[in-house]
Amino acid sequence: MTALRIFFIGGGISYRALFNWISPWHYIPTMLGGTLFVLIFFTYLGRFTDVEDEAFFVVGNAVYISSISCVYGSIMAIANERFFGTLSPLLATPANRLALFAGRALPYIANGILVSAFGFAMSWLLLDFDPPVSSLGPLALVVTAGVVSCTAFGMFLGSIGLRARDVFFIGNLAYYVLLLFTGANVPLDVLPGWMQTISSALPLTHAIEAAREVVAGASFRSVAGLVGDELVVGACYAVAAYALFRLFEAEARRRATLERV
Amino acid sequence: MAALAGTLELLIAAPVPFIVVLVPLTLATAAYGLVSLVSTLVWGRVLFGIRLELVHPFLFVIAVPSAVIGLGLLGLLLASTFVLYRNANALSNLLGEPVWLITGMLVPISLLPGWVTPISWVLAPTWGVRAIREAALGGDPLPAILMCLGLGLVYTLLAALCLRHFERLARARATLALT
Repeated sequence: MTALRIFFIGGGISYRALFNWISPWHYIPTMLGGTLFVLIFFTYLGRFTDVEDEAFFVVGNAVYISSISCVYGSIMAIANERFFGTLSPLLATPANRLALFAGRALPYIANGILVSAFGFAMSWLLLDFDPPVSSLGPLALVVTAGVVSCTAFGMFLGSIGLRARDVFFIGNLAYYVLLLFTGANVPLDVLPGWMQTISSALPLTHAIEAAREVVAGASFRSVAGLVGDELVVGACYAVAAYALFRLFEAEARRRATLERV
Repeated sequence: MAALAGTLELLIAAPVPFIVVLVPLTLATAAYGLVSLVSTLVWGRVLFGIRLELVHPFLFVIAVPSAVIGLGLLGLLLASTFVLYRNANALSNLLGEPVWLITGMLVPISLLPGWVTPISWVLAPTWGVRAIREAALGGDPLPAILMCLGLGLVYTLLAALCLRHFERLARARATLALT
């Protein structure tokens, strides 16, 4: 019960504490406005290049823009504990580490789903994107899987941020790596083999492919394999993130470097 | 950033007009873009074998700094309004893709809705990009260079007016400091 409380309530409180500076004036331009323009920009670029049909770019980018919450938010959720000087008191508590760590992911998952849903809604409103109504349920499941997986990836990067000094460099790099490698804008089959290999190990790649199939009329069952692959990728990052978190925690305690920024 | 770093009050309190401090700052920041320009050309050559053959090399050398100046002075105009706006960073996050889109850097303006075209005309980067493109690929880049620099001048005048007005408002409301 205590672990569940730490997972849900602790996760919510930590989000409010670490993002106490956020207001609608920050949230709307950054999370909704900025991501909407990413979506519109790449859709128009796709329309111009005519590499694929418009739905290819709309769906790819509407899923991809969730990464701004999943990657940057998750990195800040972990690394900012160190920068704000709250890491030591946090780790001094006897709280279940898994609940503590995983609970931090929840707000970013919710945010990522909201951003992606906003992207799809605005695409319908502004870009003549009109998916069949029957695809919306499966699409929501696929997006959720992608967001969960991407958040695990963000937590993995955030754990690296417990050691790395420039955590935003990691975030920026990851954001653009995902843009290039997940197939959001570049069809995977035109990428060189080594890039396709990297793509398959990144979050969102399988979710974007599944989302495109669902929007094209496929059933959820027919994309279940892709969703499963997406969740497996996410699970791998989650395990790696937790392992790194524990490793760096133990090392920082041993070397007394918890508060070094 | 000056607002966040707590140096904005000091800069405004100094006897030098604030715009004199701000112009080199914004131009220097825009000039960082040259690093990206050169590295993009190098990567294009090394990774994709794209050769850059300039039709008007002399005008290209003029067009590039003109575009940088145009971008920098557009930044100056925006920065002048940010003196009042406490969430300037959030707003600047919003502007990247719209500027790429509206100025025709990567997507022809003709593909965008008709109401976007007049907006693109009053943005110096539109002309800066056109100047660079025509200097490199052929055409007459000189009018675009002049438009870019002319708009830059207009931005500077507008920025000076905005700064004077917003600075006074920020002093009156005690909203200069963010720290």
